[in-house]
Amino acid sequence: MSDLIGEIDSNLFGGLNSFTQPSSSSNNASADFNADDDDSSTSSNQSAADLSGDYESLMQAWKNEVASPSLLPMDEDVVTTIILLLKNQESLTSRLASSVSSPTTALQLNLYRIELDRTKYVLADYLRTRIRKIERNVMWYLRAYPDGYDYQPNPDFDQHDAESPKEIKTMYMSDKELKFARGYEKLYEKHMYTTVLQHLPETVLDDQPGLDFNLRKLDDARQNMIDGPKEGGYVLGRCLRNGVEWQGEGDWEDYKKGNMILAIFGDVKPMVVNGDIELCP
Amino acid sequence: MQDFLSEDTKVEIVPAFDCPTLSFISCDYGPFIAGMSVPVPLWLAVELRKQFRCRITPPPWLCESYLTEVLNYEKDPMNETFFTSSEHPSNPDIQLTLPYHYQSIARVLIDVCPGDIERVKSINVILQDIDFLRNSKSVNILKRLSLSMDGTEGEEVQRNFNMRSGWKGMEVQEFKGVTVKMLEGVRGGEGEGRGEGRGGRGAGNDGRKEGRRKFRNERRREEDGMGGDETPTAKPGRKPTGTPTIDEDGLEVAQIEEGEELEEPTRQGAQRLRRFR
Repeated sequence: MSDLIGEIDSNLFGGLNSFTQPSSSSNNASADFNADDDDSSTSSNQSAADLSGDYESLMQAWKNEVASPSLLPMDEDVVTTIILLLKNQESLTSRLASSVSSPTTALQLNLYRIELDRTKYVLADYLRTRIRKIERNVMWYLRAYPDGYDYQPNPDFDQHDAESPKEIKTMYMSDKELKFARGYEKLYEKHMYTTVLQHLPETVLDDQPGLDFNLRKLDDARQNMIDGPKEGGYVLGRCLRNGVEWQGEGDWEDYKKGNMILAIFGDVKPMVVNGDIELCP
Repeated sequence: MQDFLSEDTKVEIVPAFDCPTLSFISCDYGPFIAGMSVPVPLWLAVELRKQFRCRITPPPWLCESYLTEVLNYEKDPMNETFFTSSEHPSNPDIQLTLPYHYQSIARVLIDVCPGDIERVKSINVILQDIDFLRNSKSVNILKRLSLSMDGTEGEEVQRNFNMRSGWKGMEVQEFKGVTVKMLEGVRGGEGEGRGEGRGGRGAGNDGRKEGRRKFRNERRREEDGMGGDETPTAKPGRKPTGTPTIDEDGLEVAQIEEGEELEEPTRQGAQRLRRFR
């Protein structure tokens, strides 16, 4: 019980859940101000306008991406919506800048610019972190997700239902990231070849026929030199809801909402992808 | 990074200007009416305050009485875990918790608008004391964690732990790195960037010692990085049984006893702790 109350990321006004539901994505999130419902009996009863769903998703994705050692699936909708919002906001501010009339407008401009900078920073860092992870293990990622998607068998697959998909696909690399990865891999292979591989003999004959291996091929079946991301390290995460189902190895306690979990990343990854656990950067 | 994340939390301000509702990417805020309280995110509040266009109402937890209560809880050596929640100072029906980013928020508010907060100086001192106590508790938690793993190494190490520590923003940033590295050292380095594998760890004690040495070094390195912060240095890793021996660093390793109190590792730390006794 103490864990429950202690860990919840409360607003400054205590554990009151007076937030309204996050608004759905739109160009400018409408203010969820319930001005009529405001009791001004205590200062802590204010219902603060909640942040737009897209902004929250971006922050969440950013936190998770920074804290995790391997690439996480990307929600392309969030990124495209945020880019759209940024563009709109930029055009708004430039229009405002050209018609500065009063100190209030100058103030507005200043504030808009600050927020723009903040959101751009988060988005840029998110994308940059992903690129960095891709660069680290390019060859592995391109072999694991050749078209950017990961295909998992659908547990709810119904043979007789024409609409149920056989596989669930999750996007790990967007088109642009895929393009980048392919180009980077070419450069990397060329670099490896010119520095090391061309000086190695091409084929190493083995005693047993059929077991010759090609030293110049990095992903040769017999000696795969390609390392994947290391998911065996520990990460710190927070539980976002009660009754999280465990999908990994080892024993699992019944974690409640707000508990802090120190676990091996490989075990926790499906829950991070689901959104049940958020990682602490 | 915690400072950046904390700037999204809502604060009440009383603007000194009039302005219609502003639509931001994250949310719409306003309308701003001079003299009427309005909730805004922290970055907005700080920006306005720097231009003297508003007054920030300090959040309910940033008051002397509440923080003294927190401090008393943390001081009590019987309480191993951190303070969780208690009643709102003015309205006993509401449970008030120390927010996740309380250190960042408090620091910013005290820097930017000390005049808006009552008894700022004593609040400052109380907050520092709370930080110090929480820090030493965290160190003890980590030591207990490392001891609980004695006898296991490599694959046997527990795969997930329920950290009942109640860490807040800054503590997460500080202790996460240390904890993770320590666990990796014990477990045998399958994690990020330590792909030495089980072979490199050897048998028995080596893994644990590695882990503990890393723990100690990390703590020392972090202290240097933090400058004048008086966090207690971790005592050298303890073996739970056996007579006192000399560790490889030439430091004496003593036996740990049941029900041991908070340690007094440094002279400064000891002096501070004596204030509380």
